Amino acid sequence: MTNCIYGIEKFEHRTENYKLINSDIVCDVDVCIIGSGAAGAILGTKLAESGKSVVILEKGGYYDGESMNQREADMIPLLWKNAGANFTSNLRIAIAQGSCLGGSTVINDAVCFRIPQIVIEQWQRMGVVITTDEWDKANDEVSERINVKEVTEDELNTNAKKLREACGKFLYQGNLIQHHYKNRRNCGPSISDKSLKSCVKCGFCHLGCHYDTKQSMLVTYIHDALVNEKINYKVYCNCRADLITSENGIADGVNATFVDSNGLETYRIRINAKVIIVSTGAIASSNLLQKSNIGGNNVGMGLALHPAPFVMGLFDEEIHGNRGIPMSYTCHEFGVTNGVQKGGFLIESIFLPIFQMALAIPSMGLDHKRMMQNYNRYTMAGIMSRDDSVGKVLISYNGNPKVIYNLSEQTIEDMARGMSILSRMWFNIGAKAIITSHIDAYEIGTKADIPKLKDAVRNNPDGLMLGSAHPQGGNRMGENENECVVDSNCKVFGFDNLYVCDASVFPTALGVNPQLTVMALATITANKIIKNWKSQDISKSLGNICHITQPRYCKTEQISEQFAVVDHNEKLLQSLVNSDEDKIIVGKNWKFNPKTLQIYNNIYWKGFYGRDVDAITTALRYFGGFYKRFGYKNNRIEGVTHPFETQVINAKSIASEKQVPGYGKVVHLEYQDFPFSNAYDLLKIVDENTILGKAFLGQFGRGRELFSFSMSKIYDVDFLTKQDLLTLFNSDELSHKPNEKELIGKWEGMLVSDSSLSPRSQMFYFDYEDGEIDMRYSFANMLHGRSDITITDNSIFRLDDQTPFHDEIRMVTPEFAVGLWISEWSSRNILEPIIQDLLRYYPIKILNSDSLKDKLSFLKNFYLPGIRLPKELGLSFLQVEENEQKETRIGLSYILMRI
Amino acid sequence: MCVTIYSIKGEITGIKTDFFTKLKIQAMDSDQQFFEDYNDDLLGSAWTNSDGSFKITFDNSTFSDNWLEKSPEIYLILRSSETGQIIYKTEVIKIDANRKNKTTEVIEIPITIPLDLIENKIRLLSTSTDIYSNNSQRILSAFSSLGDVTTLNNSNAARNFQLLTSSINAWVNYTNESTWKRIGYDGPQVPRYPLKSPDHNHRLTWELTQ
Repeated sequence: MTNCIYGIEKFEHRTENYKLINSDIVCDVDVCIIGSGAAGAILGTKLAESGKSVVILEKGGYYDGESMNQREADMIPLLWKNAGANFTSNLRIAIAQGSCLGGSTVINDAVCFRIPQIVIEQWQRMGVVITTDEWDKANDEVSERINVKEVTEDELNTNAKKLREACGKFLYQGNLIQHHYKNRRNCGPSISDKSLKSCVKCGFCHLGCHYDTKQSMLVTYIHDALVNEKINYKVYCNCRADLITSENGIADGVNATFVDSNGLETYRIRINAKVIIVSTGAIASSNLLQKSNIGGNNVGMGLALHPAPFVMGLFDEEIHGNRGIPMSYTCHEFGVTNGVQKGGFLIESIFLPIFQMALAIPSMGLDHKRMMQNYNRYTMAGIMSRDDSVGKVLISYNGNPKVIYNLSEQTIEDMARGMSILSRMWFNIGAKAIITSHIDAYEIGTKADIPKLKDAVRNNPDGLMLGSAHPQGGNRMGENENECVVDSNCKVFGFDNLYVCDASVFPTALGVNPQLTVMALATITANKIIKNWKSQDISKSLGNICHITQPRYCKTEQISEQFAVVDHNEKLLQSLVNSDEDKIIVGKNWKFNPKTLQIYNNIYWKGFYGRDVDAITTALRYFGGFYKRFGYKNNRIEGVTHPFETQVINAKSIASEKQVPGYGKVVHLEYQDFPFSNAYDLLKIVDENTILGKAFLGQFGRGRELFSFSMSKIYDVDFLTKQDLLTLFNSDELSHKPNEKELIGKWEGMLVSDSSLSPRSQMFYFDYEDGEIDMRYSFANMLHGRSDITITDNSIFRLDDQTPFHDEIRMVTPEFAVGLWISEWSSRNILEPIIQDLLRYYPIKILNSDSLKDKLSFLKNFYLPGIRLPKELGLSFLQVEENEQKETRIGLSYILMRI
Repeated sequence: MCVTIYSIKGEITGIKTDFFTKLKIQAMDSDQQFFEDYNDDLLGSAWTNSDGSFKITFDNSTFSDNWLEKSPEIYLILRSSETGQIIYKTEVIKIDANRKNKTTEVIEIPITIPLDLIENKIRLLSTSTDIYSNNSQRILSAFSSLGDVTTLNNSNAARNFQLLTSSINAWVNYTNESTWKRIGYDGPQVPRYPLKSPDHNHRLTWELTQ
C-alpha cells in the first residue's frame, strides 16, 4: 500500500499506516494541500479519488483515538494550536483551533449547521458566485459521509435540558421565544471499536474522541483515502509549510520543515506540485500567504472570530454538566438562523472540563476556589456572536501570525444583550446565582443585578474573557480583485494554480458553527478543480532540502551519510581547479542568476558545515567559515584552505586521488606546512560544482575524523559572501538604485557573513503616509525607528536616522535587494567618528546629561590618530571598506527579501 | 599483488515496520594486541535499508598493513542512528587466508542478525514513545511564540496579571486528580495510557453507577 501517513513522532501502534521520516524529501505530485482539517481533508480525498496524486502537509501530529486519553493537560498540548496558548494580540480572546491530523474537526463539539440562507444571499451580494443549489448539494454530500443527524432525546444531557427548559419559559417582548432546537451532530460508527455505533456521550469532545465515534476528518475522509489502494495519497504530519514558491502567476511548489514537539527543525521537504491549495484555516492561511508574499495588502484583512462569553447558572441540585454531549441544544431566536440580518447571536449549550472551567471563571483566590467547588451544580451556555469582520492578521517579527482584534460596538451590544437574556433565563428556572465571564460582574446574586452585568459589558468590554473557536475571514472571497484575495473558485487572484480553501475566505462571519460550511465549500471547490483541471509541467526545484547536489542544506550526519554512499567521480578531478583569476570577473568566474537567486563563484570552492543547531556546528558555521582554492602547479593540483575571517591562516595542500580503506577512491588533500601537516582531508567530487569532504587529524589513513563538510561553486543568496554582496552592490548591470515605488512593502533583512547568513536581523517597512513615502525599521525586534530617505547621487538610495550610520540600498530583483549599514567615509581612524558621535549625540539627545558626557569621554582613549584597523577584524559580519583616497568606512552588509 | 575484495551482505531479519530502520553497521577487523596499535580497524560502514539489508565492501588494503595479518577477522557493530550508541556486536568471523591463486578475488560474506537479538536494546535506546511525556516542552515552545505575537502595552496590566495567575492556578490545581476527587469531578473515562491497557472498557463511570 502506498498511501501512508508520515511523521517524525514514534508510536508503538497506530490505527492507520504510519511511517517515520528519517531524511529530507523531494516529492513531485499533482496536488499539494496544506492543512488536513475540514477543507484540506475533503479536497485531498476527492482530488485523489479523481485520479490526481495528492500530498497533504499537516503541521500537527497524527494522534488516533487510542492516543486521546481525555486529560486536558495531555491533550490540549497535543491537539490544540500553540498548545492552547493561542490569543489575540491583547490576550483578550482565546482562540481554539486544532493543530493535528484532522485539524479542528478532531477537537470541535461536532455541531453541524448548514450555511444560513441569509448568509448565502449576503455573500452573493458581496460577489461570491456560489448558488444556493450548489451549497445544498455539497451540504448533502458531506452530511451523508460524516453522518450528520439530529441528537436524540437521550443524547441531551441535564445541561442541555435545562437550556431547553429555560428557552421554553422565556418571554421576550411579551412572547414566548420559539426558535430553540436540538443540534445536528456528526457522530456515527467507530472505526476502531465495532461495538460502538454512535456517540458514547463522554463529554470530552474537544479533547479528541477516544472512541472514534465523532466523524472527524481523521476517521472519515482521511481514513477513506488511506485505505483506498486505487489512489495515490500521502500525508506528512509534523510538517510546517514555510513558503509557497511561485513565478509569473504559477505556484510551483512548497518548502516545508518537519518540526518536532520541542519546536526544533529536523528534516525538510520540497513538494513540486501542479496545483497548490492552502487550507490551514483562518489566521494560518493568511500568515502563509504573507510569508510567501502572495495576495497583496488584502491578505489578513477582515477577520471575524465569533467571540463568545459564557453565562452559568448555579442550582441547588447537581447538574453534572460535564456528563454527556456538551453542545446539543441551541437557542436560535436572536441569530442569523432566525432572520437577523446584521449581528445577532446564538445561545448554545456548552460545558467545560475542569481545567478549562478554572481558566474561564474570572475570579481569583478564595472566590475562585468557592466557585469551583460548585462545579457539578452549574448549567452553562455561551453567547456566540455574529461579529463584524473587524480583525486583521499581521505577520510578526519572527513570521508568526499576530491577530489584531477589537470588539465592534454592535458586537459589544449583542454580547451585553445576550448575557442579560441568558442570565434571566437561568434565574427563571431556579438558578440561585449567575456566574459570567466578565471580571467586573462575574457573580450576580439576583435578577435585579442583571443591569449591572449589562453595564459592565458595555462600559468595560475589555473585562470580558472571551473564547473563540471559529476564526473566519482574512482572505476574502469575491469577484473584486481590489478587495478580495480569492475568486469564487477559491483561486488566488493573479495565479493559475494556487487556491485558498478554508474559513479564511468567508466574506463575513457565518453566524453559526462553521465546520459544515467549510466542508461544503471544499466539496464545491474540489469539484471545480477537477472539472477545470489543466495539466502542466512540474517544477524540478529542490527547494532548500538536503540533497546530494546541494549538501549545503544538509545536517552533518546527512553529509557523512552521503559521503559513505556516493562514489567519487574520477572523471571530474579537473573540475577541482578554480579560475586562474583570484578576483571576481563578472560573467567569467562569477555569475548571478536573478531567476534562481543563485551565485556561481569559481574563484574558490565555498565551504559549508552542516545546518545542525548544536553549539559546535553553530560556532563552526559562524566563526570557522572557509574556502578552498585549487590550481595547477608543478604538474599537480595544489590548493590553499583559507578561513574567511582572518588573513593569517593559509594552509597549502596537494590533492591526489587515492584508494583509502573504509572510504574507497577519494581525493586526498595533504597539507604541507606545520601545523596543518598533521591533518588531512578526504574529498569526493559529486559533480563539477559539488564536493563532499571529511577532515581528519593524524597520520593519513589512521587519522581521527574531525567533521564533515561540503563545498560548492553554486550557492543561493542565503549564503552570500561579503565579496558577492559588494559585487552585486557596485554593479550597475546587476543592481540599480530603487525608486520609491519599488520598495513599497515589507522587507526582511539578514546580515551577510562570509561564513553563514544570519537569521532575520531587521525588518524594513516602506509605505506611503500623507502622500509621502515613510520608512520604518525594526532591528532585532528591539530597536524601532524611522529613517529619512535621501538621494545623494545617481546611484545611492540612502536612509538616514539619528545615528552615525546610514543605510544604502540597491535593488537586484523586485523581490531581492542588497544593503549596507555603514558609516561615512573618513580619513581618520574608522572608530573615531563613531565615538565622536556617541559623545556628541547620545548623552545630549537621550540622557541630556553633561556629567555623563564627561564620564563617557574615556572612550577617546580607544582611538589613536594615524593607526588603522586591519581590513578584516576577524568578525564575520563586519564590513570594512577602503577607497582610493585611503579613506575607510565601517559597517554591516545585509540582504533584503520582500515578504 | 593479489587484491581481494570482501563483500559483506547482511540482513536483520524480522523487520516489519520503519521503527527499526536506519541502523549504522560498522565492519571491524579484530586485531591482536601485539600489533603496532591497539585499535581495531574500521573496514567499512553502511546504513541499513528499509528492509533491514545492508552491504559493506572493502579490500585487503584496509587491514593488511602488517605482514602477519593475511586475512581479516571480521565482526560487526550495530549502532543507533540517533545516538550512535552500540546496540549489538556480532561474534568474530574468521576468513580463510589461503586464497593466493588469483590476482583479484571477490569473497562474499553473508551475515544474518535476527531482530529478536536487538529489538529490546533498540527500544531502550530510542526516544521515548510516550507521546505525553514532553508536553511541558510543547507548552514552553508555544509560549515562546506567544511573546512574539502579543502587544501588551495597549492592554490592561492588572488584567494580564490576573490572567497569568489564573492560568498557573488552573494548571497547578485543576489538572490534579486529588482536586478532581475533592470537587467530585468525574474525570477521564479511560486510562492515561489506553494502549497499555488494551482491555479497558468503553463504559462511562456515571452510567455504571446508575
